[in-house]
Amino acid sequence: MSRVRVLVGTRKGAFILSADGKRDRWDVSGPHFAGWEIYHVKGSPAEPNRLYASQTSAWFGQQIQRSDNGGRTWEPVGNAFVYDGVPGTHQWYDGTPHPWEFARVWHLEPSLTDPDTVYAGAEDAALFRSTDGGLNWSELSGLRSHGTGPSWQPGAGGMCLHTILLDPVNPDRIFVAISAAGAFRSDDGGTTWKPINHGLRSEGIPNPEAEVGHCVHRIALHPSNPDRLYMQKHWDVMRSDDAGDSWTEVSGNLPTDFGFPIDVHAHEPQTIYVVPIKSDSEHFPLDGKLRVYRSRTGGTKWEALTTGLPQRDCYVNVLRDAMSVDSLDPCGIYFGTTGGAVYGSNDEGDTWTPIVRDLPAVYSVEVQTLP
Amino acid sequence: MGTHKGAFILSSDGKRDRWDVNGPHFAGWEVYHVKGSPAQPSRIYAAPSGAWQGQQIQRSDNGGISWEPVGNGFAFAGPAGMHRWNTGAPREWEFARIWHLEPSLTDPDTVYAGGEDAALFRSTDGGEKWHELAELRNHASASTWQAGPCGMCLHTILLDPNNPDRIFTAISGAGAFRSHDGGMTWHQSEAGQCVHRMTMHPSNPKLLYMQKHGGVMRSNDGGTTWENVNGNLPADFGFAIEVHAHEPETLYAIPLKSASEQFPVDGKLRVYRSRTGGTKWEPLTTGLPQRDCYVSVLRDAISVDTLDTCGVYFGTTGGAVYGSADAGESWTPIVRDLPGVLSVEVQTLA
Repeated sequence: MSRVRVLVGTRKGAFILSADGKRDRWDVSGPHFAGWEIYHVKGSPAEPNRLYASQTSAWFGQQIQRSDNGGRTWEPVGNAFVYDGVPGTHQWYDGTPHPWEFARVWHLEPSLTDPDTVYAGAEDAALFRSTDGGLNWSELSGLRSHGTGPSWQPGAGGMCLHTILLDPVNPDRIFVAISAAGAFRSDDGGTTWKPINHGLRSEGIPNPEAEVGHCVHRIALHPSNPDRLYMQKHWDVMRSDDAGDSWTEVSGNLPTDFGFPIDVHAHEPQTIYVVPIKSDSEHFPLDGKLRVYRSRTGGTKWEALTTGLPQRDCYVNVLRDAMSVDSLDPCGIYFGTTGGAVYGSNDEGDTWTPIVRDLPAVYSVEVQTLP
Repeated sequence: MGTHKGAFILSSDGKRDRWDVNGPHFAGWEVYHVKGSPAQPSRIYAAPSGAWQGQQIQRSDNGGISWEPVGNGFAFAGPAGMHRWNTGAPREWEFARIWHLEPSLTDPDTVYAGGEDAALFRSTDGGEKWHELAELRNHASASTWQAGPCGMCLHTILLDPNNPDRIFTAISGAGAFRSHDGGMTWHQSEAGQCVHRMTMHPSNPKLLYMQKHGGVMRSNDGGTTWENVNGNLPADFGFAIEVHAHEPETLYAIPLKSASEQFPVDGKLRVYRSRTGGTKWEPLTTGLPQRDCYVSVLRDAISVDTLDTCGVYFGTTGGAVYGSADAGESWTPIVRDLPGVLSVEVQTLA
């Protein structure tokens, strides 16, 4: 019988939640790396027992950890993230030039085919790759040097590269997203890059329709149709049907179009999930009701999913990397809150159960579906 | 309650089994502390702050229904002076925020404020104007005060109900201090520098308890000498400590595993109670999560009411507030999903 393993990164360690295919009884393991901030943990699709974790601390700096047995034991691998060449400058919050400076790794994206190849998204925004299981890292500096880099500005959470999507059909195609620069695409395996923000509109920047400067919070794709992208940005949920060349707003009847995570149903490329948040100054659900919204039409028409979720006095947030789906049938959905709860649904979002309620604040949730 | 994203007010009658939740006030702001005036309970002071917005002080005269901003001019008296940064390097005093507000026991317009970097301020006009009681920061030891991981903050202010000239303060990274003359001169206690919280019982203000980095301590002489009463507690780290409203020898602590792992031991959220003034402790677990619980309880996030039986309340960084209407025997979550809780204060009203 199939199993699922949910990898949870939190403010004070990593946790692993495991269940069989029914997904109704859970085993909780952790904390791993207790006391450290774990921005992200993700398994290799090619070798699911190979996990990578990004462990950081303001005091002790960055570590990358690797497990080859599904998270039972870990070993630190390489943590030298050096910008290629002269790092140059981007813009600070006030618009003045600010030198690129490595702070931490937000996101790790293992290759779809090679367990030793893994991409890392960093703050200040840059993309790194290792081809030896995380021991050595080199920057794919064409992203930072394609031309718009000096004009990138940080979002409220820092200037981070938080999303890396690998196209399962075209191995040369990579998408990334950066707060608050926007979305970018490479069609040659990461050597050259171009911004793909046409159609995005952001009030509060000098030119609302500029090529870069958009606060993209998250993008997602479905493996069966990787030319279709979904995006949750600072304001607006967007969709592209041409690999990011153009975007259309699909916020529709959402109660607010601010939020962080967005994810796609494992078997229905038109079914997507978001968690609307009141506003950029009030990072919690509207009216104290924690509602996941689902669209079965690729956006525009949305329905609230509330069964099993707190519907009063709820003021938690759900961060951008804290939602994930399994690939069982029916599709399971999982998300974690800054209040330390992880909710799971084993019926496509119709009903929810708290798997854990009292973990440290959840930064990231990834699911592995195992044989 | 103060939280990472606003203030909330929880209200109940004396049975304390059904609660009304009101808020968020100051939505989106970090509210380190909210506290009412003992002399005029509808007068409440709150300290919202933000990395972007800076410091505000808010005042309510109707029990939190409406608020008005009052003064936020927290200027150090005289030269700022130097202390030590968390690396040990010298660093100039700089105002960051207010951690704690302590209204006078007798005058609703007088209120003390504890700042980061550590300093004590007082207002005598309801929060409009603030003046530093600078002799604390002019203490001979000040240049050796060293910021901890959370900064160097003055987080505890205790006013002696029997002697209005006596004030106790505690500073993270500096220690505990006592003044006998209304804040003009200060004496540093021997308790060490890393004091997380200090508390006293109004019936015997010479009896002080302290949770420090290294255990629970007790003083019988107003803070001159201290003894370790950590006893059988499962850890010697924690933040919150409070005394029963009617029993000066009954106290509550919430041990956390360690400074680097700031969550309960073994994933079990346990309040420990001593009925012997420390040393002998019993875990209180009924109604509290006893597995997979990795929240923290911060220093200002526990409080007691003065009903009989005494009610105890605490909030977690996971956004839950637990209440006990029976002196800690059993607990119920009043709310579970608020923003991370920074402070909890209780008012017992007529």
